[in-house]
Amino acid sequence: MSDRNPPAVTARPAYWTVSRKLAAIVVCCVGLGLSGMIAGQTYWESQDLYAHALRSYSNLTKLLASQVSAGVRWQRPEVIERNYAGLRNDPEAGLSSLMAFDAEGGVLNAYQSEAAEGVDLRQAHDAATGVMGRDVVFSQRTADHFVLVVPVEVDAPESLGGRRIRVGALAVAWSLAELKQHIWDGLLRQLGLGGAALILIIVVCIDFLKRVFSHPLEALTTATERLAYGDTSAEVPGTQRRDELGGLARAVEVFKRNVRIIEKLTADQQEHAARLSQALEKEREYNALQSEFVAMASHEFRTPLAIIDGTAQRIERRMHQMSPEDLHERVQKIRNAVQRMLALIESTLSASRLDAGKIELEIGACDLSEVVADVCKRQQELSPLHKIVLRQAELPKEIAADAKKLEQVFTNLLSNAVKYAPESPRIDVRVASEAGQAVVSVCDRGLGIPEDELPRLFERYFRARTSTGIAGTGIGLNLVKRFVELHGGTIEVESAEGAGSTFTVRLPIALPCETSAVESAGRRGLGLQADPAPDGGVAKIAQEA
Amino acid sequence: MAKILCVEDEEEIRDDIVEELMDAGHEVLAASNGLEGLQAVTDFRPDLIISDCLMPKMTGPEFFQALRRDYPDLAEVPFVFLSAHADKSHVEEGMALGANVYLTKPVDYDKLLMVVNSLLDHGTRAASEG
Repeated sequence: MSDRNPPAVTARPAYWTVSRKLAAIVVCCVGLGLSGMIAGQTYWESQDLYAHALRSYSNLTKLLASQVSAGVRWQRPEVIERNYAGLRNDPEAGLSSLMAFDAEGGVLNAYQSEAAEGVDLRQAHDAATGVMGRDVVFSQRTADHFVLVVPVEVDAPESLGGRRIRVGALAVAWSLAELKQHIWDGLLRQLGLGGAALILIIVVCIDFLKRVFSHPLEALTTATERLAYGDTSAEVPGTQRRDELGGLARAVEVFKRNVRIIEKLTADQQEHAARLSQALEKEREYNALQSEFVAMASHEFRTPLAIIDGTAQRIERRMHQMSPEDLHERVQKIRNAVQRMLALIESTLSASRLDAGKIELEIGACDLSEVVADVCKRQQELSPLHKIVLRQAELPKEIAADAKKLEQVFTNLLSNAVKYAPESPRIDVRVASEAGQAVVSVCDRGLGIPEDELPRLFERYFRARTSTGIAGTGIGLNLVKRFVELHGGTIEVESAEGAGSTFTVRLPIALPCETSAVESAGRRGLGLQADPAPDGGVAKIAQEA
Repeated sequence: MAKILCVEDEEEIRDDIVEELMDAGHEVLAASNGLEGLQAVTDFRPDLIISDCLMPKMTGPEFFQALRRDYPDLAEVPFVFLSAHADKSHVEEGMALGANVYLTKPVDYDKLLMVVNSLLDHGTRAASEG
């Protein structure tokens, strides 16, 4: 999981998980069902008993009716005894006692047992005397009995007038304890049958709920959580389902795809931002270098101006006391300073022309050896404290190149060698021909360049750390490299801090007759090769100042 | 007549300044960078120092700071920067260091002499008053 998106909400796994809740619901439903069953069973049992009681009563009334029509004196105790014993002994009715009342409400039978205690005799009287309707049944509950009081009517025979007569009432009592036992037995019987089935139902239900809802929900939750914490490799289960869980899974799948898109966008954006900040950093660096260049360029222009102005002021003051030699020397100083300024102007303008793409080589017949020798000679005059040693192998007398640009190249390299080796006077310049290329190297034993800065050395405005305190604009080497490349050549530098630097320029040797070809090649930055003319292999030392 | 130390890496400029100051009657010692200047002050004990800014080995500002740090007895010696760095920022930087005057190249020698004399006068007056 990635810590990129910390969870907004952290919760411990709840005890009441969805599956547990579902299981609880199942158990509650089954419990309710069970309670309902118990209540139903109780109700049906009591209805059953009631029905039995009524049947017994109906049988009794029929018996009474027949006895009445046969002239039997039903009120006689032995008749009542016999009649009620039959009723009482009906095992299905479960009656515990009976009381009979005559039409006046008087108690007839001797079965007054404990059940009779507490029976509301007023109701019995009402039932027996016909105050109440024939269908009214009183139900009573005494301390330990359930009692029904019912009126007893018979259809009198035609001989007696043929109408229904109320002959009395009956109080039918059930022992509550027996009743409960009876119902409880029924329940246990039911439960014994249904209990196993119920447990089975619960197990099956819970298993079903688990398989159908719980497990898929858990898997989906896990996948969603992984996704929320940035793990897009999580497989979203259940996308094939057709129910709500399937809908949810499909939504999560879409969410996953979106997260992937967002991740990719974010990565792209970060990369873009990194690139941008890199570019910005580079730009800032370049701007800093550029403003450093402006300051240094101003310094570099002012220095020869200061020489010219200072010398001129001195001449003005001492004009009349100066010897011609002294005057000549001072004028020469002025002219050197002017040259210095011109070179500076030239390189600054070249740089800006290069930037504008307006520089083209003026290829002509160029004697490279002579160009290098001239540059060395001039530099030697400017830097009498240094010793420029030139070694030249033979090169073709003339090659196709832009002599002025190459002069600028070598002047730059040589003046750098002098400038950055103030304490080490010896500077070696070597001209050679290697593999069809003219090779010119300038080697000093001066300050050198820190190794880590070598790759940036030819960048515009870049100046190495070791140049601190030494005037310079940072455009020279850049210009050198670009001029050399315009000729289809290369430049390399080898350097060690404190040990000096060697710059090696390689130029393709092309004969002047191939000028047009070289010119176009030069513009493209490609080199052409030609065999050097063999005019002697003498190495000469041009300068030993 | 005063003793002036002139620190300048451009020989052509240094020679002219030295000449100019000597013509004005001063005793001048020339040094080609800050390090040489620092070595020179011990024996030479200048009354005034003129120094370039951009020099190899030790720049003018570095020279100035080393001088003020290591030579408390020369703390009152006037110090003039004479530099081809003519930007406002460079001038402010030089003055912020504590130099008395910051002159830019090319410099008018009359102006240079005026500044030198003014600083020397002030120093003398301060010394006589003290």
